[in-house]
Amino acid sequence: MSDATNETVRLSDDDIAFLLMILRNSNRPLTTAQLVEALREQSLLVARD
Amino acid sequence: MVNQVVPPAAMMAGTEEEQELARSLLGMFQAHGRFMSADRVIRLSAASLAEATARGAAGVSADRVIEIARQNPDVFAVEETEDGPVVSTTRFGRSPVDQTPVSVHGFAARLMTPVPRLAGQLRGEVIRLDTGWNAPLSEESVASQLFDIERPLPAAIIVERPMLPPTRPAGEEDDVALDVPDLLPLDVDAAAALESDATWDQPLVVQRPEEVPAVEAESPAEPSIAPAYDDLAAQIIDDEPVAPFEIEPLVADEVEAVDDRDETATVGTDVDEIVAEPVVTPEPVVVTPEPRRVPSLKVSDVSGVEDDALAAAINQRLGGDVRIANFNHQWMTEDRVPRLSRGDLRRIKEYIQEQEQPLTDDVLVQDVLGVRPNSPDFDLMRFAISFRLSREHRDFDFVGTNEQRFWSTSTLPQIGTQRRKPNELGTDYRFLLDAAPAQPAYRSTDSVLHVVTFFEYYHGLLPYDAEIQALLPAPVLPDQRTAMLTFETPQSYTTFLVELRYPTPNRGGFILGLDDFFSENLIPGALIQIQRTDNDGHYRVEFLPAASQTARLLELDERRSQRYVFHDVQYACEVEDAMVLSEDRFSGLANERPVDEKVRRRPEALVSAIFERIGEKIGPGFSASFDDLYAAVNIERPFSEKQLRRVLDTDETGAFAKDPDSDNVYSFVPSNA
Repeated sequence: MSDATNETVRLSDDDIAFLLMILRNSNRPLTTAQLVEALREQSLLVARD
Repeated sequence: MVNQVVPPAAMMAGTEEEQELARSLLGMFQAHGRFMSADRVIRLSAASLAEATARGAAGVSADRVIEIARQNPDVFAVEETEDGPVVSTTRFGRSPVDQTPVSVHGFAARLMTPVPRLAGQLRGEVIRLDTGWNAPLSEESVASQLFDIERPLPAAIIVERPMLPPTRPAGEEDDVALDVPDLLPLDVDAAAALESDATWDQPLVVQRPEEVPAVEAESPAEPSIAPAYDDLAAQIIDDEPVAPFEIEPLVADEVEAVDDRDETATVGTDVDEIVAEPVVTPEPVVVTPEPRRVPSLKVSDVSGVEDDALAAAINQRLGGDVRIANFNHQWMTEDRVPRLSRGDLRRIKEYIQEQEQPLTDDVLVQDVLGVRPNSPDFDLMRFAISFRLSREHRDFDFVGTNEQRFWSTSTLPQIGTQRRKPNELGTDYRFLLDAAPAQPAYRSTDSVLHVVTFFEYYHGLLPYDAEIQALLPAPVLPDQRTAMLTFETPQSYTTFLVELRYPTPNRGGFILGLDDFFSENLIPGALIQIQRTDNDGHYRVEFLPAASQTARLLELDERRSQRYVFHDVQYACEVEDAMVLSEDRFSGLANERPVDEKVRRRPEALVSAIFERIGEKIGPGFSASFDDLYAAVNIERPFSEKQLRRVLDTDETGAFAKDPDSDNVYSFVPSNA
């Protein structure tokens, strides 16, 4: 997708598992923006592989 | 207790001269190894000893030194090396003995020496045990094992295990091993035959494949089972040296040593000699632990999704998960959030009541829990307080913003005016709901310019209209009713704690707590500017400074009964002239009482009453400009221009009419006139 969309997005189970893993590995509260950033980075890594 | 060890006196052999020379040599050794332990071997070459004796009066040659040393074997030892003969002894004058540790059955030997592979056993094959090994020993079998020494050795090799298995009496030649000619390699038929014929007292039998013919089974028995071990070892070593398990970090020398051992064993060396081979300790392999890697999860491609949509999706999925603690866009696993005891909650509640105002979570963390701001756990404890208090609905209310998370209790006194209840004020501002946007653009503007009306001035409040709504933050929680904000006034170096009352479905919103700021700096009709800061809970409010001037302005005298009066007031702020309630414009309000509550509730009745008070009497009716009406009607209750215009233009009774001869002037004719 080239154009950013603001439509309703549904996260997959893998997305949720990744977010849960991020949260479990953190001993500090994470903001929503940090979770979004982590999800984007992981998405880029998967796309690169 | 400490025992002092005295070196024994060495007895030297030979003549007195030779004894003296021997003691002299021993003294050289002791001087050389004075800091060595008593039994440490001291080695000196014969040449160096001869050279040392040559410094004295009686110099001797190296051969003489060796001769003296050989005369005293209890004291000295002579070794031939490539560099010449070497004499050795210890500091106590004892001939050194070989102190090489015996490693025949040490841990290293057991660890590094492969287990011998049995004859015919394939790589990785497990020796199958007869079921008789698990059976209890009978008295007969034990007795036969103990006393039957002259038991003949069958053709098959009987491998005796450490716990001796029961065997048959010596006279019985029909050993099961003879009936199973080729037990190993183990095949299904042989195994079945063994299981069918074997009995509980049969030993484990390993058949030597071809080296032992069946005829030898009838040869005289071996006196003991030890030769059987030898033959077994030979048989094992004849085979390919296969280890049941392989140790990877073998160095080359060790591999050679293992091969040499096998070759030696092939020519008939017994098992003990094989095991006694020195074991080369492999070099330690330093394994660097790999860094912890995040498992690769196939997350969705979110490159084309905006942050807001992703955040909404995260809120949707994680928001309802009981394992996740969520507060104010912060997330953490619930089990990692520090818990507050009942005592902590009680102290927090008491501290808020003691301070008589809502307190932020960082204040509570510092003052109640004693966590310093520079502590690494400070942010964590802030989140813990907010999250845990959000679960205590009965005792605590969240009244903060994203940046300033205020917490309040239900018993705190009301902030701001006491002249009117918040619910009544909300009802007064109900008209704001009509003008409220469907999708409020919170914090979309940087500053707001506002004219303070008499009603706002008197109660110390501001309306939560569309302009101010675009300046202030949205409620953090869906059911949040109020939010505490801090309004800083740089001109008076004061910060006020104000309370924002969010609109409800039937009440408008407003901001309480500006009484002191208004009364100390402003007059009704003054212009103020409210600016936002980076902190969504902190704002800067300023009035526009102007030259100081004095005017007779309307006030509400509350000493005896409430009446409007005019007093000289000095002020130094910019004002909206149309909203200034001066005596020359509104002299008709002097000594008037506030309108009755019944009249006040009805906009048309209130506007009629205002006409009668401030309007110009023309015939049976009254005439007044819209500006005057708007300023005067905002004395009694909040009124917007739009609302007033609607009352004047759309009155069904026809009492109000616009003057066609004048611009923006309305007339009112009472119905009973």
